[in-house]
Amino acid sequence: MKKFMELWAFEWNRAKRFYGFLIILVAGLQAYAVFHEYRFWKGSYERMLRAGSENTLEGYLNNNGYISFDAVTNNSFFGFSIVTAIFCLLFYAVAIWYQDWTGKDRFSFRLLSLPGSRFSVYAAKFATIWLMITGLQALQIGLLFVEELIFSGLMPAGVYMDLPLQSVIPTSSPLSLALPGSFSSYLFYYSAGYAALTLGYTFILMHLSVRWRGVILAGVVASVLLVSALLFLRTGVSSFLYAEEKYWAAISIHTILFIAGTRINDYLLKNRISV
Amino acid sequence: MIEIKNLQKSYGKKAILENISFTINQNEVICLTGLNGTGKTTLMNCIMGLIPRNSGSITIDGADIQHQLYERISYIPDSLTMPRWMTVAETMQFMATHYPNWNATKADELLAFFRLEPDAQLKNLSKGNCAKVNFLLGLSLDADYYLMDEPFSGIDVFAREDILEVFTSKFVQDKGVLIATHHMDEVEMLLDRIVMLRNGRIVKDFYAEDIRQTEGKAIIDVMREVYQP
Repeated sequence: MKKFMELWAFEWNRAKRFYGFLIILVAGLQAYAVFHEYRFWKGSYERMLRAGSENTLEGYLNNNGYISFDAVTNNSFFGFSIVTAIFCLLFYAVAIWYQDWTGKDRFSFRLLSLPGSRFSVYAAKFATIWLMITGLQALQIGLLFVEELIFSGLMPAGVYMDLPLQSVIPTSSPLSLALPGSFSSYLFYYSAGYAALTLGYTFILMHLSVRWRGVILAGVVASVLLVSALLFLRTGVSSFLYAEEKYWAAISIHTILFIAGTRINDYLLKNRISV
Repeated sequence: MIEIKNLQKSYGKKAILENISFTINQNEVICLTGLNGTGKTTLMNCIMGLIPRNSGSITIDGADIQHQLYERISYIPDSLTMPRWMTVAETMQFMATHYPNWNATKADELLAFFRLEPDAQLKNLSKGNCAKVNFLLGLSLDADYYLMDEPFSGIDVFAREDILEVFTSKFVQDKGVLIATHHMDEVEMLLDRIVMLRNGRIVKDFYAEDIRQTEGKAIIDVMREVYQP
Protein backbone atom coordinates (compact mmCIF):
# COMPACT_ATOMS: atom_id res chain seq x y z
CA MET A 1 0.00 0.00 0.00
CA LYS A 2 2.84 2.36 0.91
CA LYS A 3 4.55 1.73 -2.43
CA PHE A 4 1.27 2.39 -4.25
CA MET A 5 0.68 5.66 -2.40
CA GLU A 6 4.23 6.84 -3.09
CA LEU A 7 4.04 5.95 -6.75
CA TRP A 8 0.62 7.56 -7.03
CA ALA A 9 2.01 10.76 -5.56
CA PHE A 10 4.89 10.57 -8.05
CA GLU A 11 2.59 9.98 -11.04
CA TRP A 12 0.29 12.76 -9.90
CA ASN A 13 3.22 15.12 -9.53
CA ARG A 14 4.28 14.24 -13.06
CA ALA A 15 0.75 14.80 -14.47
CA LYS A 16 0.33 18.16 -12.71
CA ARG A 17 1.51 20.38 -15.57
CA PHE A 18 -0.56 18.60 -18.20
CA TYR A 19 -3.57 18.61 -15.91
CA GLY A 20 -3.18 22.29 -15.10
CA PHE A 21 -3.09 23.07 -18.80
CA LEU A 22 -6.23 20.98 -19.32
CA ILE A 23 -8.10 22.76 -16.52
CA ILE A 24 -7.18 26.17 -17.93
CA LEU A 25 -8.25 25.06 -21.42
CA VAL A 26 -11.63 23.74 -20.24
CA ALA A 27 -12.35 26.74 -17.99
CA GLY A 28 -11.22 29.14 -20.73
CA LEU A 29 -13.38 27.59 -23.44
CA GLN A 30 -16.40 27.50 -21.17
CA ALA A 31 -15.90 31.10 -20.07
CA TYR A 32 -15.71 32.05 -23.73
CA ALA A 33 -18.95 30.11 -24.35
CA VAL A 34 -20.71 32.22 -21.67
CA PHE A 35 -19.63 35.54 -23.25
CA HIS A 36 -20.15 34.24 -26.77
CA GLU A 37 -23.74 33.33 -25.95
CA TYR A 38 -24.35 36.69 -24.26
CA ARG A 39 -22.92 38.60 -27.24
CA PHE A 40 -25.01 36.50 -29.60
CA TRP A 41 -28.17 37.37 -27.67
CA LYS A 42 -27.22 41.05 -27.42
CA GLY A 43 -26.51 41.22 -31.15
CA SER A 44 -29.84 39.69 -32.11
CA TYR A 45 -31.71 41.95 -29.66
CA GLU A 46 -30.02 45.08 -30.99
CA ARG A 47 -30.73 44.02 -34.57
CA MET A 48 -34.40 43.69 -33.67
CA LEU A 49 -34.40 47.15 -32.09
CA ARG A 50 -32.77 48.64 -35.18
CA ALA A 51 -35.32 46.97 -37.44
CA GLY A 52 -37.97 48.79 -35.37
CA SER A 53 -40.69 46.20 -35.85
CA GLU A 54 -41.13 45.16 -32.22
CA ASN A 55 -38.84 47.46 -30.31
CA THR A 56 -39.72 46.30 -26.81
CA LEU A 57 -38.37 43.53 -24.67
CA GLU A 58 -41.85 42.07 -24.58
CA GLY A 59 -41.93 41.95 -28.35
CA TYR A 60 -38.60 40.22 -28.38
CA LEU A 61 -39.79 37.63 -25.86
CA ASN A 62 -42.95 37.00 -27.92
CA ASN A 63 -40.78 36.16 -30.92
CA ASN A 64 -37.78 34.46 -29.33
CA GLY A 65 -38.83 33.28 -25.88
CA TYR A 66 -36.78 33.41 -22.69
CA ILE A 67 -33.07 32.72 -22.55
CA SER A 68 -31.86 30.16 -20.02
CA PHE A 69 -28.53 28.64 -19.07
CA ASP A 70 -29.01 25.74 -21.51
CA ALA A 71 -28.09 28.22 -24.28
CA VAL A 72 -24.56 28.21 -22.80
CA THR A 73 -24.30 24.44 -22.29
CA ASN A 74 -25.41 23.93 -25.90
CA ASN A 75 -22.89 26.45 -27.21
CA SER A 76 -20.36 24.74 -29.48
CA PHE A 77 -17.39 26.09 -27.46
CA PHE A 78 -18.86 24.54 -24.32
CA GLY A 79 -19.34 21.15 -26.01
CA PHE A 80 -15.88 21.43 -27.56
CA SER A 81 -14.31 21.99 -24.12
CA ILE A 82 -15.74 18.69 -22.82
CA VAL A 83 -14.89 16.70 -25.96
CA THR A 84 -11.34 18.15 -25.85
CA ALA A 85 -11.00 17.16 -22.18
CA ILE A 86 -12.13 13.60 -23.00
CA PHE A 87 -9.59 13.30 -25.84
CA CYS A 88 -6.81 14.80 -23.70
CA LEU A 89 -7.56 12.30 -20.93
CA LEU A 90 -7.56 9.44 -23.44
CA PHE A 91 -4.23 10.67 -24.76
CA TYR A 92 -2.72 10.89 -21.29
CA ALA A 93 -4.13 7.47 -20.31
CA VAL A 94 -2.01 5.99 -23.12
CA ALA A 95 0.97 8.33 -22.68
CA ILE A 96 1.24 7.51 -18.96
CA TRP A 97 2.60 4.08 -20.05
CA TYR A 98 4.49 4.86 -23.20
CA GLN A 99 6.38 7.81 -21.71
CA ASP A 100 8.14 5.24 -19.49
CA TRP A 101 8.57 2.57 -22.14
CA THR A 102 9.91 4.62 -25.06
CA GLY A 103 13.03 6.65 -25.68
CA LYS A 104 16.60 6.04 -24.68
CA ASP A 105 16.54 6.43 -20.91
CA ARG A 106 13.57 4.31 -20.08
CA PHE A 107 12.11 4.88 -16.65
CA SER A 108 10.46 1.45 -16.99
CA PHE A 109 13.82 -0.07 -15.89
CA ARG A 110 13.53 1.71 -12.57
CA LEU A 111 9.79 1.16 -12.12
CA LEU A 112 10.06 -2.58 -12.68
CA SER A 113 13.17 -2.90 -10.48
CA LEU A 114 11.52 -1.31 -7.44
CA PRO A 115 11.22 -3.68 -4.50
CA GLY A 116 7.69 -4.88 -3.73
CA SER A 117 4.70 -5.74 -5.85
CA ARG A 118 4.70 -4.50 -9.44
CA PHE A 119 0.93 -4.14 -9.28
CA SER A 120 1.53 -0.86 -7.46
CA VAL A 121 2.97 0.54 -10.70
CA TYR A 122 -0.28 -0.33 -12.49
CA ALA A 123 -2.53 0.82 -9.66
CA ALA A 124 -0.70 4.16 -9.41
CA LYS A 125 -1.16 4.88 -13.11
CA PHE A 126 -4.81 3.80 -13.05
CA ALA A 127 -5.52 5.85 -9.91
CA THR A 128 -3.90 8.90 -11.50
CA ILE A 129 -6.27 8.71 -14.47
CA TRP A 130 -9.20 8.13 -12.10
CA LEU A 131 -8.23 11.19 -10.09
CA MET A 132 -7.91 13.27 -13.25
CA ILE A 133 -11.40 12.23 -14.37
CA THR A 134 -12.96 12.77 -10.95
CA GLY A 135 -11.17 16.10 -10.56
CA LEU A 136 -12.50 17.31 -13.90
CA GLN A 137 -16.03 16.27 -12.92
CA ALA A 138 -15.75 18.21 -9.67
CA LEU A 139 -14.36 21.17 -11.60
CA GLN A 140 -17.26 20.96 -14.07
CA ILE A 141 -19.83 21.09 -11.27
CA GLY A 142 -18.10 24.12 -9.80
CA LEU A 143 -17.78 25.79 -13.20
CA LEU A 144 -21.50 25.28 -13.92
CA PHE A 145 -22.46 27.23 -10.80
CA VAL A 146 -20.03 30.05 -11.55
CA GLU A 147 -20.96 30.22 -15.25
CA GLU A 148 -24.66 30.28 -14.41
CA LEU A 149 -24.05 33.10 -11.96
CA ILE A 150 -22.11 35.12 -14.55
CA PHE A 151 -24.56 34.46 -17.37
CA SER A 152 -27.61 35.33 -15.28
CA GLY A 153 -25.79 38.51 -14.15
CA LEU A 154 -25.06 39.54 -17.73
CA MET A 155 -28.59 38.95 -19.06
CA PRO A 156 -31.42 41.44 -18.34
CA ALA A 157 -33.65 40.14 -15.56
CA GLY A 158 -36.77 40.01 -17.71
CA VAL A 159 -35.17 37.88 -20.40
CA TYR A 160 -33.37 35.31 -18.29
CA MET A 161 -35.25 32.30 -17.07
CA ASP A 162 -33.72 30.49 -14.13
CA LEU A 163 -33.63 26.73 -14.64
CA PRO A 164 -32.28 24.19 -12.16
CA LEU A 165 -28.96 22.70 -13.26
CA GLN A 166 -30.44 19.18 -13.08
CA SER A 167 -32.76 20.06 -15.97
CA VAL A 168 -30.04 21.92 -17.91
CA ILE A 169 -27.51 19.05 -17.92
CA PRO A 170 -29.56 16.53 -19.99
CA THR A 171 -30.04 19.10 -22.80
CA SER A 172 -26.33 18.92 -23.72
CA SER A 173 -24.99 15.52 -24.83
CA PRO A 174 -21.31 16.13 -23.96
CA LEU A 175 -22.27 17.55 -20.56
CA SER A 176 -24.64 14.69 -19.76
CA LEU A 177 -21.83 12.29 -20.64
CA ALA A 178 -19.45 14.05 -18.24
CA LEU A 179 -22.07 14.49 -15.53
CA PRO A 180 -24.83 11.88 -15.91
CA GLY A 181 -28.16 13.11 -14.57
CA SER A 182 -28.85 10.22 -12.19
CA PHE A 183 -26.86 7.80 -10.07
CA SER A 184 -28.00 4.84 -12.20
CA SER A 185 -26.75 6.53 -15.41
CA TYR A 186 -23.55 7.50 -13.62
CA LEU A 187 -22.98 3.88 -12.58
CA PHE A 188 -23.76 2.63 -16.08
CA TYR A 189 -21.52 5.05 -18.00
CA TYR A 190 -18.63 5.10 -15.58
CA SER A 191 -18.53 1.35 -14.93
CA ALA A 192 -18.42 0.94 -18.73
CA GLY A 193 -15.72 3.63 -18.94
CA TYR A 194 -13.45 2.14 -16.28
CA ALA A 195 -13.93 -1.37 -17.71
CA ALA A 196 -12.91 0.04 -21.12
CA LEU A 197 -9.89 1.76 -19.54
CA THR A 198 -8.84 -1.52 -17.88
CA LEU A 199 -9.15 -3.41 -21.16
CA GLY A 200 -7.30 -0.59 -22.91
CA TYR A 201 -4.49 -1.14 -20.43
CA THR A 202 -4.60 -4.86 -21.19
CA PHE A 203 -3.94 -3.93 -24.85
CA ILE A 204 -1.06 -1.70 -23.85
CA LEU A 205 0.48 -4.26 -21.49
CA MET A 206 0.08 -7.00 -24.11
CA HIS A 207 1.90 -4.72 -26.53
CA LEU A 208 4.65 -4.03 -24.01
CA SER A 209 4.90 -7.76 -23.23
CA VAL A 210 4.73 -9.55 -26.56
CA ARG A 211 4.60 -6.58 -28.97
CA TRP A 212 2.16 -6.72 -31.91
CA ARG A 213 1.32 -10.40 -31.43
CA GLY A 214 -0.09 -9.36 -28.06
CA VAL A 215 -2.18 -6.54 -29.53
CA ILE A 216 -3.65 -8.91 -32.14
CA LEU A 217 -4.43 -11.52 -29.50
CA ALA A 218 -5.97 -8.91 -27.18
CA GLY A 219 -7.96 -7.52 -30.12
CA VAL A 220 -9.41 -10.94 -30.91
CA VAL A 221 -10.35 -11.55 -27.25
CA ALA A 222 -11.86 -8.05 -26.92
CA SER A 223 -13.89 -8.52 -30.13
CA VAL A 224 -15.26 -11.84 -28.89
CA LEU A 225 -16.18 -10.25 -25.55
CA LEU A 226 -17.82 -7.26 -27.21
CA VAL A 227 -19.84 -9.35 -29.67
CA SER A 228 -20.95 -11.68 -26.85
CA ALA A 229 -22.04 -8.72 -24.74
CA LEU A 230 -23.95 -7.16 -27.64
CA LEU A 231 -25.63 -10.45 -28.51
CA PHE A 232 -26.60 -10.86 -24.87
CA LEU A 233 -28.03 -7.38 -24.58
CA ARG A 234 -29.75 -7.12 -27.97
CA THR A 235 -31.01 -10.58 -28.70
CA GLY A 236 -31.73 -14.01 -27.30
CA VAL A 237 -31.67 -14.30 -23.55
CA SER A 238 -31.99 -10.59 -22.87
CA SER A 239 -35.34 -10.37 -24.69
CA PHE A 240 -36.82 -12.21 -21.70
CA LEU A 241 -35.43 -9.63 -19.30
CA TYR A 242 -37.03 -6.46 -17.97
CA ALA A 243 -35.23 -3.18 -18.55
CA GLU A 244 -33.98 -3.12 -14.97
CA GLU A 245 -32.62 -6.65 -15.27
CA LYS A 246 -30.84 -5.71 -18.49
CA TYR A 247 -29.35 -2.73 -16.71
CA TRP A 248 -27.95 -4.89 -13.91
CA ALA A 249 -26.75 -7.47 -16.43
CA ALA A 250 -24.79 -4.70 -18.15
CA ILE A 251 -23.35 -3.48 -14.82
CA SER A 252 -22.35 -7.08 -14.02
CA ILE A 253 -20.61 -7.43 -17.39
CA HIS A 254 -18.72 -4.18 -16.80
CA THR A 255 -17.66 -5.41 -13.35
CA ILE A 256 -16.55 -8.81 -14.68
CA LEU A 257 -14.55 -7.15 -17.48
CA PHE A 258 -12.97 -4.74 -14.98
CA ILE A 259 -11.93 -7.53 -12.58
CA ALA A 260 -10.78 -9.91 -15.35
CA GLY A 261 -8.82 -7.11 -17.06
CA THR A 262 -7.18 -6.09 -13.78
CA ARG A 263 -6.10 -9.68 -13.07
CA ILE A 264 -4.69 -10.13 -16.56
CA ASN A 265 -2.83 -6.83 -16.22
CA ASP A 266 -1.40 -7.95 -12.88
CA TYR A 267 -0.23 -11.22 -14.43
CA LEU A 268 1.34 -9.44 -17.41
CA LEU A 269 3.24 -7.04 -15.16
CA LYS A 270 4.51 -9.83 -12.94
CA ASN A 271 5.46 -12.37 -15.56
CA ARG A 272 5.44 -11.12 -19.14
CA ILE A 273 6.37 -7.46 -19.34
CA SER A 274 9.59 -6.37 -21.07
CA VAL A 275 11.50 -3.13 -20.79
CA MET B 1 24.86 -16.13 -3.54
CA ILE B 2 22.91 -15.54 -6.75
CA GLU B 3 22.64 -18.79 -8.64
CA ILE B 4 21.60 -18.93 -12.27
CA LYS B 5 20.75 -22.40 -13.54
CA ASN B 6 20.05 -23.51 -17.12
CA LEU B 7 18.73 -20.13 -18.19
CA GLN B 8 17.24 -20.01 -21.67
CA LYS B 9 15.97 -16.98 -23.51
CA SER B 10 14.85 -16.72 -27.10
CA TYR B 11 13.02 -14.22 -29.26
CA GLY B 12 10.80 -16.26 -31.56
CA LYS B 13 12.98 -19.02 -32.92
CA LYS B 14 16.21 -17.14 -32.29
CA ALA B 15 17.98 -18.32 -29.15
CA ILE B 16 19.69 -15.43 -27.32
CA LEU B 17 20.81 -17.27 -24.18
CA GLU B 18 21.30 -21.03 -24.03
CA ASN B 19 21.79 -23.09 -20.94
CA ILE B 20 23.43 -20.35 -18.88
CA SER B 21 24.56 -21.48 -15.44
CA PHE B 22 26.86 -19.61 -13.08
CA THR B 23 26.91 -18.08 -9.62
CA ILE B 24 27.56 -14.58 -8.31
CA ASN B 25 29.23 -14.75 -4.93
CA GLN B 26 29.59 -12.00 -2.38
CA ASN B 27 33.10 -10.59 -2.11
CA GLU B 28 33.66 -11.15 -5.81
CA VAL B 29 33.91 -8.81 -8.77
CA ILE B 30 32.86 -10.75 -11.85
CA CYS B 31 33.05 -9.57 -15.41
CA LEU B 32 30.50 -10.85 -17.87
CA THR B 33 32.13 -10.31 -21.19
CA GLY B 34 31.66 -11.08 -24.84
CA LEU B 35 31.50 -9.36 -28.17
CA ASN B 36 28.58 -7.09 -29.10
CA GLY B 37 25.28 -8.96 -29.32
CA THR B 38 26.31 -12.01 -27.31
CA GLY B 39 23.49 -11.58 -24.78
CA LYS B 40 25.18 -9.74 -21.87
CA THR B 41 22.43 -7.14 -21.43
CA THR B 42 19.72 -9.75 -22.01
CA LEU B 43 21.21 -11.84 -19.22
CA MET B 44 21.31 -8.84 -16.85
CA ASN B 45 17.70 -8.01 -17.71
CA CYS B 46 16.66 -11.63 -17.14
CA ILE B 47 18.26 -11.63 -13.68
CA MET B 48 16.31 -8.47 -12.79
CA GLY B 49 13.05 -9.85 -14.28
CA LEU B 50 12.98 -6.99 -16.77
CA ILE B 51 12.40 -9.45 -19.58
CA PRO B 52 10.78 -12.85 -19.10
CA ARG B 53 12.98 -15.93 -19.47
CA ASN B 54 11.87 -19.06 -21.28
CA SER B 55 13.20 -21.50 -18.70
CA GLY B 56 15.77 -21.92 -15.98
CA SER B 57 15.93 -20.65 -12.43
CA ILE B 58 17.49 -17.69 -10.63
CA THR B 59 17.79 -17.83 -6.86
CA ILE B 60 19.26 -15.67 -4.09
CA ASP B 61 20.55 -17.77 -1.21
CA GLY B 62 18.29 -20.58 -2.34
CA ALA B 63 15.10 -18.51 -2.63
CA ASP B 64 13.51 -17.86 -6.03
CA ILE B 65 14.20 -14.32 -7.11
CA GLN B 66 11.02 -12.28 -6.76
CA HIS B 67 10.22 -8.61 -6.87
CA GLN B 68 10.21 -8.51 -3.09
CA LEU B 69 13.90 -9.48 -3.09
CA TYR B 70 14.99 -6.69 -5.42
CA GLU B 71 16.24 -4.58 -2.55
CA ARG B 72 19.09 -7.08 -2.19
CA ILE B 73 20.22 -6.32 -5.74
CA SER B 74 21.10 -2.94 -7.16
CA TYR B 75 20.99 -2.77 -10.94
CA ILE B 76 22.91 -0.03 -12.70
CA PRO B 77 21.85 -0.11 -16.36
CA ASP B 78 23.87 1.40 -19.19
CA SER B 79 21.89 4.65 -19.14
CA LEU B 80 20.34 6.84 -16.50
CA THR B 81 16.79 5.51 -16.24
CA MET B 82 15.19 8.51 -14.63
CA PRO B 83 12.91 11.13 -16.21
CA ARG B 84 15.06 13.93 -17.61
CA TRP B 85 13.02 16.72 -16.03
CA MET B 86 14.16 15.65 -12.58
CA THR B 87 17.07 17.23 -10.74
CA VAL B 88 19.85 15.18 -9.15
CA ALA B 89 18.35 15.87 -5.72
CA GLU B 90 14.91 14.76 -6.92
CA THR B 91 16.26 11.46 -8.22
CA MET B 92 17.90 10.90 -4.83
CA GLN B 93 14.61 11.74 -3.13
CA PHE B 94 12.79 9.27 -5.41
CA MET B 95 15.23 6.52 -4.44
CA ALA B 96 15.00 7.40 -0.75
CA THR B 97 11.22 7.20 -0.93
CA HIS B 98 10.99 3.91 -2.81
CA TYR B 99 13.94 1.90 -1.46
CA PRO B 100 13.97 0.97 2.21
CA ASN B 101 17.71 0.26 1.91
CA TRP B 102 18.64 3.73 0.60
CA ASN B 103 21.69 4.95 2.46
CA ALA B 104 21.50 8.75 2.61
CA THR B 105 24.96 9.13 4.14
CA LYS B 106 26.55 7.09 1.38
CA ALA B 107 24.55 9.08 -1.21
CA ASP B 108 25.82 12.40 0.17
CA GLU B 109 29.37 11.06 0.21
CA LEU B 110 29.10 9.97 -3.42
CA LEU B 111 27.51 13.29 -4.39
CA ALA B 112 30.54 15.08 -2.99
CA PHE B 113 32.96 12.50 -4.39
CA PHE B 114 31.59 12.90 -7.92
CA ARG B 115 31.33 16.70 -7.54
CA LEU B 116 27.69 16.73 -8.70
CA GLU B 117 25.33 19.67 -8.29
CA PRO B 118 22.12 18.56 -6.51
CA ASP B 119 20.04 21.21 -8.27
CA ALA B 120 21.21 20.36 -11.75
CA GLN B 121 18.52 18.96 -14.03
CA LEU B 122 19.39 15.62 -15.62
CA LYS B 123 18.66 16.98 -19.10
CA ASN B 124 21.46 19.52 -18.66
CA LEU B 125 24.09 17.03 -17.51
CA SER B 126 26.90 15.72 -19.68
CA LYS B 127 27.06 12.01 -20.48
CA GLY B 128 29.83 11.52 -17.95
CA ASN B 129 27.87 13.24 -15.20
CA CYS B 130 24.77 11.19 -16.08
CA ALA B 131 26.90 8.06 -15.64
CA LYS B 132 28.04 9.38 -12.26
CA VAL B 133 24.44 10.02 -11.16
CA ASN B 134 23.60 6.51 -12.34
CA PHE B 135 26.38 5.15 -10.13
CA LEU B 136 25.38 7.33 -7.23
CA LEU B 137 21.80 6.05 -7.34
CA GLY B 138 22.86 2.43 -7.69
CA LEU B 139 25.67 2.37 -5.14
CA SER B 140 23.78 4.30 -2.47
CA LEU B 141 21.55 1.30 -1.96
CA ASP B 142 22.73 -1.01 0.79
CA ALA B 143 22.39 -4.05 -1.44
CA ASP B 144 24.27 -7.34 -1.33
CA TYR B 145 24.83 -7.47 -5.08
CA TYR B 146 25.48 -4.83 -7.70
CA LEU B 147 24.82 -5.53 -11.37
CA MET B 148 26.34 -3.03 -13.80
CA ASP B 149 25.73 -2.99 -17.50
CA GLU B 150 28.44 -1.30 -19.61
CA PRO B 151 29.31 1.15 -16.83
CA PHE B 152 31.91 3.02 -18.88
CA SER B 153 30.18 3.20 -22.21
CA GLY B 154 30.70 6.55 -23.93
CA ILE B 155 32.13 8.48 -21.00
CA ASP B 156 35.33 10.46 -20.94
CA VAL B 157 38.57 9.36 -19.28
CA PHE B 158 38.19 11.60 -16.20
CA ALA B 159 34.66 10.43 -15.42
CA ARG B 160 35.92 6.88 -15.91
CA GLU B 161 38.74 7.45 -13.45
CA ASP B 162 36.28 8.78 -10.87
CA ILE B 163 34.03 5.79 -11.27
CA LEU B 164 36.91 3.33 -11.18
CA GLU B 165 38.04 4.88 -7.94
CA VAL B 166 34.74 3.87 -6.42
CA PHE B 167 35.57 0.21 -7.05
CA THR B 168 38.74 0.45 -5.06
CA SER B 169 36.99 2.25 -2.21
CA LYS B 170 34.71 1.11 0.60
CA PHE B 171 31.55 1.56 -1.46
CA VAL B 172 31.55 -1.94 -2.92
CA GLN B 173 33.50 -3.69 -0.20
CA ASP B 174 32.26 -7.21 0.65
CA LYS B 175 29.68 -7.08 -2.12
CA GLY B 176 29.00 -9.29 -5.11
CA VAL B 177 29.56 -7.28 -8.27
CA LEU B 178 28.70 -8.35 -11.81
CA ILE B 179 29.95 -6.02 -14.54
CA ALA B 180 28.82 -6.63 -18.12
CA THR B 181 31.26 -5.08 -20.59
CA HIS B 182 33.21 -5.83 -23.71
CA HIS B 183 35.84 -3.22 -22.75
CA MET B 184 37.88 -5.65 -20.67
CA ASP B 185 40.93 -3.36 -20.62
CA GLU B 186 39.01 -0.76 -18.57
CA VAL B 187 38.16 -3.08 -15.69
CA GLU B 188 40.79 -5.80 -15.84
CA MET B 189 42.60 -4.72 -12.66
CA LEU B 190 39.36 -4.89 -10.63
CA LEU B 191 38.28 -8.37 -11.55
CA ASP B 192 38.30 -11.57 -9.56
CA ARG B 193 36.48 -13.72 -12.06
CA ILE B 194 35.56 -13.62 -15.75
CA VAL B 195 32.57 -15.25 -17.43
CA MET B 196 32.85 -15.26 -21.22
CA LEU B 197 29.80 -15.44 -23.43
CA ARG B 198 29.74 -16.33 -27.10
CA ASN B 199 26.56 -16.67 -29.14
CA GLY B 200 24.47 -16.82 -25.98
CA ARG B 201 26.50 -19.59 -24.30
CA ILE B 202 29.12 -19.51 -21.57
CA VAL B 203 32.38 -20.58 -23.17
CA LYS B 204 34.74 -19.89 -20.29
CA ASP B 205 34.36 -19.15 -16.57
CA PHE B 206 37.64 -18.63 -14.71
CA TYR B 207 39.44 -16.75 -11.96
CA ALA B 208 41.80 -14.03 -13.21
CA GLU B 209 44.46 -14.91 -10.66
CA ASP B 210 44.49 -18.59 -11.71
CA ILE B 211 45.03 -17.73 -15.36
CA ARG B 212 47.80 -15.30 -14.50
CA GLN B 213 49.58 -17.73 -12.19
CA THR B 214 49.05 -21.09 -13.86
CA GLU B 215 49.15 -20.05 -17.50
CA GLY B 216 50.98 -16.75 -17.22
CA LYS B 217 48.44 -15.03 -19.43
CA ALA B 218 46.65 -11.73 -19.25
CA ILE B 219 42.86 -11.78 -19.54
CA ILE B 220 43.04 -10.04 -22.89
CA ASP B 221 45.10 -13.01 -24.19
CA VAL B 222 42.36 -15.41 -23.11
CA MET B 223 39.84 -13.18 -24.84
CA ARG B 224 41.83 -13.36 -28.06
CA GLU B 225 41.90 -17.15 -27.84
CA VAL B 226 38.16 -17.30 -27.31
CA TYR B 227 36.95 -14.63 -29.70
CA GLN B 228 39.67 -14.66 -32.37
CA PRO B 229 40.66 -18.34 -32.62
